Amino acid sequence: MSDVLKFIASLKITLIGLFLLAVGIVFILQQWQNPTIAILPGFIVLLINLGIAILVKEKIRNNSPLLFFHLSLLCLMLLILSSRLTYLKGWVELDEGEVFSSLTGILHSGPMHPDDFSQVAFKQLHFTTRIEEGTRKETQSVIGLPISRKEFLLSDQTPLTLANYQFTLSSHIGYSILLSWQGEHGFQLGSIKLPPYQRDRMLAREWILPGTELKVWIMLDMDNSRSMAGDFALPEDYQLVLRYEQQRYQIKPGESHCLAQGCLTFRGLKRWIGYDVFYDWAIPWLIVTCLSAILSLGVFLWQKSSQSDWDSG
Amino acid sequence: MMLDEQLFLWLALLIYVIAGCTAVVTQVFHKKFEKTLLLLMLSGLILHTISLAIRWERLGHGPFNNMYEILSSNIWSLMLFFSIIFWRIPKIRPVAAVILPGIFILFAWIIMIPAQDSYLPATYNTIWLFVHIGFGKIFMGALLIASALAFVIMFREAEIAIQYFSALPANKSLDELAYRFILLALVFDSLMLLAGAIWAQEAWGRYWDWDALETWSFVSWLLLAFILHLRLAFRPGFVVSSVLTITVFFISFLTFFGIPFISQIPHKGAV
Repeated sequence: MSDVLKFIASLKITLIGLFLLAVGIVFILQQWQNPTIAILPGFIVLLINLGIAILVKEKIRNNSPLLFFHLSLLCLMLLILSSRLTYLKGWVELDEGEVFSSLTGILHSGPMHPDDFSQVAFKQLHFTTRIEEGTRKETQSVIGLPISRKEFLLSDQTPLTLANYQFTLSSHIGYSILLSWQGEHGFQLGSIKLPPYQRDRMLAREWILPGTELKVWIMLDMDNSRSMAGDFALPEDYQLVLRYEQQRYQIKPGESHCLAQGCLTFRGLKRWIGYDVFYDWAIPWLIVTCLSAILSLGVFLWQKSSQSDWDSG
Repeated sequence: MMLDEQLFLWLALLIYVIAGCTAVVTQVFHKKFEKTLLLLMLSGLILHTISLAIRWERLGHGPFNNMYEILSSNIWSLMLFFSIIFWRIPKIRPVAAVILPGIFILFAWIIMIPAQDSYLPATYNTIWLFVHIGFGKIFMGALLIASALAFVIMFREAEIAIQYFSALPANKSLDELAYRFILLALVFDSLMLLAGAIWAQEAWGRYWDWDALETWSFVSWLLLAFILHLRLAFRPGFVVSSVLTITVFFISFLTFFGIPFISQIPHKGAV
């Protein structure tokens, strides 16, 4: 039994684990869709090898910096594993004045991520951003935090972190169209987010009228869209282009357009701002264990190098 | 101002080239020009520092962004690192005849690149950028010395130009010193990756995204870890150790200079 354990703890198995990690990297370089799966075999081999090595290798246990290094490495690997099980990467787009309630989309998430945003309460207030050569540059966004009743200034260098969810400014900003719909099922008021603003990009999308099966195409028509520079603000002159059943209509702010199923009123424009959202409770612990691993390795190597002169042989 | 900046850089490069030629002449003709060599390297570094400072003052940010800036700052850091080693470890001074001509490749590269101004993205305005790059430069410096020692070992094992490196210690000692520089490189590579991850988390909301630069940096780290474990497990000969050391240097070199070259900015898409 002890021979088996010694073999599992041996440096040969470490080399096999490192080799398997390298194979995983080859898959990642080939644009493999799930990098976590690609590195998992090597990771598991190294995790077992490391855990057993700490238990059976006296050389590790008898040297404090070396033991501390291996323990830190083990903690780091376990943290990475649990972090991958619970992490989330997604995005959200919020109108000015909108309260955050859920994500707009999720890119990846671990199988054990708790889908609970009840602890993440904030309201998007105003934001300022500069457009240069058609793309977003320096941006500042003010967030209202209802629990502390304070405001938080979010910028390119300062993300917002609430309940381990980190909100970072994405490159996306845009306009939302405010519409009201008076149909057979009553009155509804809401906003529709247009695609992210980009110079020379048509700001249009399709949308199904509430309570109907009627699909309409809407486009924001604004004269200055192709030459916008400076602050990203609401345009001074704009109208909504509405198209359905091969008919095309133009509506100015405050105007309505009636169809057989009800009346649509264009109530104006808002701006929206996008955030990349990342959840990982393990980040502070990952930093601490990384630092302790590197420092203890440094101390061990320093001790080892000090024991003999490189030119003594 | 642009002219001054270029003038100081050209003067620095010229002095580095004279230093490199002096190092080669020293070995070929068995002359003792060590003090002259150190003075030349320091003079080049002073002129190069002035050139970088003028550019930094003019653009308002450090030389981190485009290929010209990356090359210039790396020539500076590699020369600085080697000058310190040259000063502190006199026994390996003959290695200058390998290292300085090696850095000439970067000189040739930088003079072919237009000295364009760069725009620093808002997410690059953080202290973590300096920490990340600082650790990276020490990592590359340590690898450069290790690989130069590995080259000398291979020359001597292959009995090529033995007479030019006869003043250096035995291969066993050089191998041990190269190993120690590899250990130093591993520690600073790990610190560089950690600082980069912290910066990426703050700037882009993810600490690791497997972009080309991150993936290749991880390959370098993996290879360093592989070399160290291989050495402990199998105690390979000088030639195998040297080949592995040179391999990890080339992979790291291509990661540092190749990936930014194909993607225009160090972390493409993450701006």
